[in-house]
Amino acid sequence: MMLLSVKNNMLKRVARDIASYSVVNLGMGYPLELLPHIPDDLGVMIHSENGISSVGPVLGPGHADRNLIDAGGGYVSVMPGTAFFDSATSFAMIRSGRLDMSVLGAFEVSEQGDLANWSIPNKFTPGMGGAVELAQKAKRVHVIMTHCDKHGNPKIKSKCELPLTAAHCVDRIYTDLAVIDVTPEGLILTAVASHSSVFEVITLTAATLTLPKTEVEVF
Amino acid sequence: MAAQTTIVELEGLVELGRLNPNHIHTPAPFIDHVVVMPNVPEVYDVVKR
Repeated sequence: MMLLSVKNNMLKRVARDIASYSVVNLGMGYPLELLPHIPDDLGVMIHSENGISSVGPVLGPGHADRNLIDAGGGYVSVMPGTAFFDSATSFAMIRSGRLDMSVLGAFEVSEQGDLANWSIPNKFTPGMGGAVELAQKAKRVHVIMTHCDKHGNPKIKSKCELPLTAAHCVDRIYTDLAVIDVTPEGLILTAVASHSSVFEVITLTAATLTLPKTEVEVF
Repeated sequence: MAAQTTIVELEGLVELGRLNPNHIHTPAPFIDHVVVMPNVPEVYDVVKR
């Protein structure tokens, strides 16, 4: 389990890279926890693949509408600018590249930007939901995950061992320890968390990490 | 949905939140540009045959 301060530090760093007025889809888990870190005045349109754009805030049990949920089953609300549409339109939106960013969770990411986030065979299969399309078609794909699994094994590997959700799709990986960019030249260690170090990140990554030409940012 | 760029010609622009979320045919993520045309030129009139 990640310390709350470490998690918030990571989420704040992720939120910094979300552009104003962009259309963004947030996956289950850490990505949805970004919501409180995205400033209201940024005008970001949150997309939910069950058919909502400009998703409003999540409501508590007292105020929830049982007929208004997002793709993760959370009770959401409308806000000025909200639109509802059917599933076909929603996926047409994703497949035609209208989403500026997709933020997803992951079990593994490879050096080439392959993403595995839908199944751990014989153990845990949450299902892929809309992730295949989101990972392939969003203009930018950002992953948020713990740097290592609960046994301490690296989740960033030279090659994924788990079944892929999509190949060559991830642009940037955020973990509790680092921000890593997937580039044609390989993985670049762009930033390191203030409680970690370049040495620790390299030790806990099972793929080749290159240092950036400029200084490694600390967040 | 198939076009790379979508431009909307508008006869009326309303403030954010005035449209019912259930009545929207083309949600915002599909729209790239909006042109407000309060005075629609004659060419847009009903064609007389």
